[in-house]
Amino acid sequence: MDNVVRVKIADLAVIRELGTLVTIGLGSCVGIAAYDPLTKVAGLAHILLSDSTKFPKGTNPAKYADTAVPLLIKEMVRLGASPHRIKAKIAGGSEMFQTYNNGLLTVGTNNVKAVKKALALARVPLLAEDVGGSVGRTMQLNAEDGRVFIKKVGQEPREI
Amino acid sequence: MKKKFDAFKYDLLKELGNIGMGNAASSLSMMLMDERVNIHVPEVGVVSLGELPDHMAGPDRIVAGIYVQVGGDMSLHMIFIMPDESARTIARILTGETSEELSEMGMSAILEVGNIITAGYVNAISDLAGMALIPSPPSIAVDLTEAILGTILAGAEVAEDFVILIKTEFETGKSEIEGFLCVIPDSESVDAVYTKMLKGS
Repeated sequence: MDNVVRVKIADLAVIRELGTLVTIGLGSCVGIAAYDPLTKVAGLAHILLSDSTKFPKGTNPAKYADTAVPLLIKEMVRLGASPHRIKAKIAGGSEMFQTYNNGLLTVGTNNVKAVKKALALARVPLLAEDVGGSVGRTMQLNAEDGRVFIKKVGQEPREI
Repeated sequence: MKKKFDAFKYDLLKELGNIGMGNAASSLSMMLMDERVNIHVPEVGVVSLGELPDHMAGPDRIVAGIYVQVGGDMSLHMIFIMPDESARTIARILTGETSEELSEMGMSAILEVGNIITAGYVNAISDLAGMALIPSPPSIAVDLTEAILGTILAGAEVAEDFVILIKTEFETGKSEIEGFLCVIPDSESVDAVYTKMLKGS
């Protein structure tokens, strides 16, 4: 297997030309796979929460939708991508705990909304999404061709 | 695991973990018809959000996760995680079913085990520190460890980039059941227990 980079919770990574970015198990978190087809620069972020302004103590920009998107683009540009060519696909934002629980029932939906807003602000087109529902997803982005695969528990990977 | 906070608090959390799991293990043993339940000495440490799944069964394992939120005199998030095979073993022992998929009955048996384990811990704190703690009804999800923990961390809106993790593992003799309890207090809550136990009656 060639270069596989795992992106953990509240983390992001960028690579160029060779290799695969993977984030395992997106629940209510959202994975943002961004790609510049010309330079083959690929970036993947795994955000946990929607809005960094609610958490003045927070120091990790990769944790929040509003700060992770600009950081992802910046890191991709550093590897040679052009912001005008970057396009994104997203996955996650499910509501995994179905029974009673105030906060947990809206986190996924809010995260998806916040990611879409952050992408729109950064003028990054959203090409595809696989969001919502009640299952976890594993997201994979191949740097060579920009293809994105989503795998759910008990199912075969599917390209989006 | 990094140990960043002071040694006395660390020992206190560890001891609460011991007593809590002791309570939980005896209830579980009764539920499993007197089967022996071995508990490991709890580990307490400060863990980054991204590394949490690596401390609990591994990020890409399919697990049953039971989540209980505790409010009242202190606030805690408790997550009990059981690998898929162990969850099905529990369902088989308690309901007698042998199917591959977990039925609603099986799920509720697992939920009950999670309830017993988390209640053991909550009771230990409330007895020792004399605090009134109110646990929420438990919720259950079966999925990848990372998906479950990420969802809980997001729901908990953890402001810090690190969490205090009190981790306890147990296993049973003949049925090979494995479980992980993760307790995430906020730092104010740890201070509250500490003060209460030093100055309280």
